[in-house]
Amino acid sequence: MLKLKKNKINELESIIEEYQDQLFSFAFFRVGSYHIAQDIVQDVFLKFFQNKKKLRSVKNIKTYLMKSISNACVDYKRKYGKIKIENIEFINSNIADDEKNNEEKMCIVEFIRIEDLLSELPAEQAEVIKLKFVDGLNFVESAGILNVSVNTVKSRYRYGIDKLKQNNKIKGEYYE
Amino acid sequence: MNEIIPKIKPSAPLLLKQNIINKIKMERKEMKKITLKKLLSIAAIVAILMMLPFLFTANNEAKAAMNLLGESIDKSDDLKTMVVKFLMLTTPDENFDAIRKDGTMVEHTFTILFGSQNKWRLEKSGRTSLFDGLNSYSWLKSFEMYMMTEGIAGFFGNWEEFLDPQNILRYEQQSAQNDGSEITMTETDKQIILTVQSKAKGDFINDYMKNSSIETSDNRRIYTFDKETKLIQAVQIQIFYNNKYHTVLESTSIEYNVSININKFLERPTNAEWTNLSIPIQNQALTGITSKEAANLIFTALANKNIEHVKEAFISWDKKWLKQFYGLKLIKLGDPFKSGLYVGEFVPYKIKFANGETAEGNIALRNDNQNKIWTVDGGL
Repeated sequence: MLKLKKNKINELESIIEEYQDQLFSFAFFRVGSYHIAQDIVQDVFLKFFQNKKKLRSVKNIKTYLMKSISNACVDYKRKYGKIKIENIEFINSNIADDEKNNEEKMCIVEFIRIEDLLSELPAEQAEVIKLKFVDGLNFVESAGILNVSVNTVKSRYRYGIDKLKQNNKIKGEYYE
Repeated sequence: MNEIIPKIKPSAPLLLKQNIINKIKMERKEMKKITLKKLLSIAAIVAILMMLPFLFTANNEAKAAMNLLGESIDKSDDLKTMVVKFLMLTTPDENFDAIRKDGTMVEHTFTILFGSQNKWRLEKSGRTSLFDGLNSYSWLKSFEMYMMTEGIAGFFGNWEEFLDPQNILRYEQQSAQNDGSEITMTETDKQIILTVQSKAKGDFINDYMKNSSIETSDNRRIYTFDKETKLIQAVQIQIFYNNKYHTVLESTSIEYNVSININKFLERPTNAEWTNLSIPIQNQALTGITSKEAANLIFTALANKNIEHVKEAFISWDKKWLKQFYGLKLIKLGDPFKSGLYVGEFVPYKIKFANGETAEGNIALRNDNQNKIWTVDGGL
């Protein structure tokens, strides 16, 4: 259980350090933009800190934060519409070639590739597949984030994988 | 299954943690002020003075001023409404914080409804802005411009700072902290007069924006408090130019707890097409270029009577009204410059209208939006 006491910014700092990369990556692979992902993660941490009373009941910080990020990404997409996937050539020509932007550029290319790969799946199936392969979460963690049963996560996963295989989008063994 | 696994994952930006911590520290500072405000007593004011001795010149007058502001805030905690009528040297449709030295003293009415979320309405004959607790609206009927944003926007200039007594302490504290404003206090039998004198803020390598607003002028703000109620009775603001101070704002009445017709307070034009400035705009032609290049694109589009590819530059403009500029000829563009506190840049231009008349000016362009799109700010 979380024990975030008053005036304990140091505690928050260590929580941010522990989860920031995973949360940022999670948000990025939902919204496809560095600066929007950054805003979302910032907002979630700020709300997390402001909500100290409610947080005393939080049992798993990682799941709580991921769920919050997931909700924030859904809200963002609801507010600003479906993410427009720019073509890779445009992105290549518009991102400077320094080291930092190189990483950003490669990540955007990966985001586009994965979005394209999962584009034919219903959103629920695409999301559980992302949670497993992009975010590295197990089915129990995914169920916690999506607020559904583990069995539902598993069946969405199976249907999704089957469809990707049928469409020759992926090869290899089907595993859980 | 490796196809689904990203070949690379982004790392969190280096400044992410620091940004969050800084914001939390700032919010806690604000929360402390709000809590203090609500519990304010003489003892609490002394505590503020002890916590923030560096804010004002360490003299008794400044401490007394802090006490006075604190007491005023304490009294204003019980307020339900406030209506300030004031005259300001400007034009009827200019932004609310814009001073026009060649303008007239224009009548303004500023209404505040206090609550857990304050609401404001500021109006003059050519322009009205409203914050209804959720969204901000601003409209200029004569130009058919109807803008809105989610949350609190900058439509009000600094008036919620200058005229809401609960904000004055914070505003003056910040001013003193940032630019060392000087405070003086005088007393009569019934009144206390507090004068805060500040230097102009901003970069004036090019002084185009000097004296264009109170903040960008050497100014003094004179607050008159009722000695008994500690509430503000009058406000006068003067700015310094041509070797002397000139009054640019003067309250004509300040009323507290008057009855407000909420429907009238919230009233805004019906059947208007509101431009939501919170929605990020997209335009690849107007990003990644200099302000001068953007100005060139914009004037060329007006010359060609086709603004479709640059229409986002005129996000808050009425497109019908814009047609008066169609067919103009761009004669020349100068080098862009920055001035004062303006976030954007000014590009000098000379144009010839279709009727043969020529005009010179500085087009104000800003790109401080999410996608760094250059937009035209103000008129041509």
